[in-house]
Amino acid sequence: MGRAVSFSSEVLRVSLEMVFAATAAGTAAVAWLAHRERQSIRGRRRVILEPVVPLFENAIFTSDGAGIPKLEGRYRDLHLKLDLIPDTMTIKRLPQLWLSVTAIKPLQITDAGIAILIRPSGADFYSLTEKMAEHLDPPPSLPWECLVRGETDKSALTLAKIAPEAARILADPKVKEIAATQRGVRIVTQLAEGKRGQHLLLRQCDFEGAELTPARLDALVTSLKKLLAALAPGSAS
Amino acid sequence: MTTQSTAIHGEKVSLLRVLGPGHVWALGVGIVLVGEFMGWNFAVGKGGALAALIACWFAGLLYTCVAMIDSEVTSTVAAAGGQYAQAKHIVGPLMAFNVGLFLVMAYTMLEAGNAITLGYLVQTVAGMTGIEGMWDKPFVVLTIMFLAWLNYRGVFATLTFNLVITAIACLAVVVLFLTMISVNAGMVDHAAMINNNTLPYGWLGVIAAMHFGLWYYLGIEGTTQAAEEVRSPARALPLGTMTGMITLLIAATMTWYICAGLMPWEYLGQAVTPLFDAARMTGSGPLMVLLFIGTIFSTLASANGCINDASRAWFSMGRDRYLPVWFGAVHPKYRTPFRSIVFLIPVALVFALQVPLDQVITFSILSGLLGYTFMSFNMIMFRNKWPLDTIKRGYVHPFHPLPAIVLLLLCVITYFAVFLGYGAQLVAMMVFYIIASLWFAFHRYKYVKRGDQFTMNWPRPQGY
Repeated sequence: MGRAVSFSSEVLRVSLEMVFAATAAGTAAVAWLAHRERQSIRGRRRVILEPVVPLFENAIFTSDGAGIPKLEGRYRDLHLKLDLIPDTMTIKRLPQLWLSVTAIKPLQITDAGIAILIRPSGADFYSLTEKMAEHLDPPPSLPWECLVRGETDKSALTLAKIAPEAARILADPKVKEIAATQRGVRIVTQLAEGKRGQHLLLRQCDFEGAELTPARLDALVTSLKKLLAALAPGSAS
Repeated sequence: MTTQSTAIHGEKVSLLRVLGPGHVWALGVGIVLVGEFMGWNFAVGKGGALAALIACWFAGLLYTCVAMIDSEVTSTVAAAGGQYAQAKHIVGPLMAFNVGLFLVMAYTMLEAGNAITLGYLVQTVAGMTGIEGMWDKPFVVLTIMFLAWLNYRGVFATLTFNLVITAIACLAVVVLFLTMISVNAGMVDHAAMINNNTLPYGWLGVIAAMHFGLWYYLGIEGTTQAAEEVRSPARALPLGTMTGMITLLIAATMTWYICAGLMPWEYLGQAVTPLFDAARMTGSGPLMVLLFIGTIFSTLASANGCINDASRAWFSMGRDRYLPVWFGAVHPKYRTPFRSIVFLIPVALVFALQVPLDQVITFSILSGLLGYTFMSFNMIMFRNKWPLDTIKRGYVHPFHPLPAIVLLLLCVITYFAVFLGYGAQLVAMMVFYIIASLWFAFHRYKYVKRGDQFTMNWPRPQGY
């Protein structure tokens, strides 16, 4: 070595023992911080749907081990199911928190279900498009960057019926997918985006401040009702 | 606060929101700053201390071109998907397959390099306390397995205190530098350390040093993350990347100043943990602790990001059927690409346990370099197929095609630099990608659903 820096080995040993003691204390502190943060994040996630819980009749409100809540019940004469989907699958994109609002109501569109996904990345695992085999060209009223898929070739009729309403709904850039099957209709929309710093540093998704407001839910349910009306027997295509 | 008229979801957003403090900070201490803690110093071995510094600045020029080119393309594409999505839309499936592989290999090799460094550091510190002969391999395995487990559990695992923890990584470099120009100023002697060997291998050594010069910045283009949106923030993309590069350039120069002034270039050129070694040279316990923690956390943060990104790239290729669709599965509970995460664990382990650090880093650099080479001709093709008046761009980079040509030229120089000393690794990597491409072209391509992949709202390209 070009520079002689000599220290007593005993001094170095004592110093390094202190280093290890400090490291152990630091590790314990980090573990405590991690536990506290985990509880805090779970708590923050559980409250995302809380503002709309009182609006539901017969509400069933649950949350999973990560604190991601689900809600099911009756709202404005519809049987609604609300799911939250954290999505970290697309590289070079911030984590997304999708809200899926499904109106469960039997529809007479057997084998004619349809899903319209806007700006597909290929990693949209929550989308119903991948469960449908028939590729359909989006009509001119829909944005060009839509992926439209149906269960069979009969789905083209379903598409024709909902296209005007779907175009209006998709004008909102937060909406990601519209789907209609014989079991009901659903809209997937962006509820929150992960904090940039948290994602960049350790690829965490922290949706701080995410909340479903009653007004937002009301607007989504209005859109679902219009889709149901468009699909009702006897409605003009 | 500077405001910027960029629409995200129809709202006006401030520059501070797009480039918040956490973002700027993250650019420095996230997946890239680890390059200051390990790896860069192999450039010293290839050309001497001064050559490493020159290579650092030339690599900065290469990454400036990368930032300019990447910003223009991603300001037209919703940037999600990165270079992989660009390759799908601008060049075609074979290129996209290769770019996906470049990403997976670059990240997985970097993950292996991080694990090696962490294991070595633990072994070194144990040796300093008298625990001689501690085996580093269990720590290497433990690091990879623990981070893979965290990634497997997705949102079920939380590490949100990371802003505080990773700050230490950045602070460690700054504090060490400050002590070196103040209380420890007498210890720094660049002339003595260089020992009359300013450029021991001449200017060829400077070119050779370009190989590891890339390590200072590798992955910086990945730190700009897109929002889920129709329009990408226009000026924030180049600004974000350039801010990160300036951060790294300053950190790299400080790192060079500290290490090249404390350690002879012959030693520095093969050290595993140069900054920690520099702290040891000072003999200061607190500095050693700081650099120990800084190195540990920067390698952990980097490895964690690598597992995340490599598995997502592998997953995307499975979804697009470039690979067996089995890899495109999402865990029903954790909502993570669990099969891709698990599949890549043994790949990382094999390299981390069997291959020396400098070669692992070389494999990572080569994959990154192939990606940058793609970007140079991707830009030319992009401008030719969709001239400026055909697609609205949020950002138009100046002096086209000069940045693309300079980038290509610097890439060619760097291939030559890799060849100088690591020719076998260069050939092995090229053979791997050629065989993979042949497999894709003659076997896998028939499974690809081409119609579902082209989703950009772009007009028909010119000439088609």
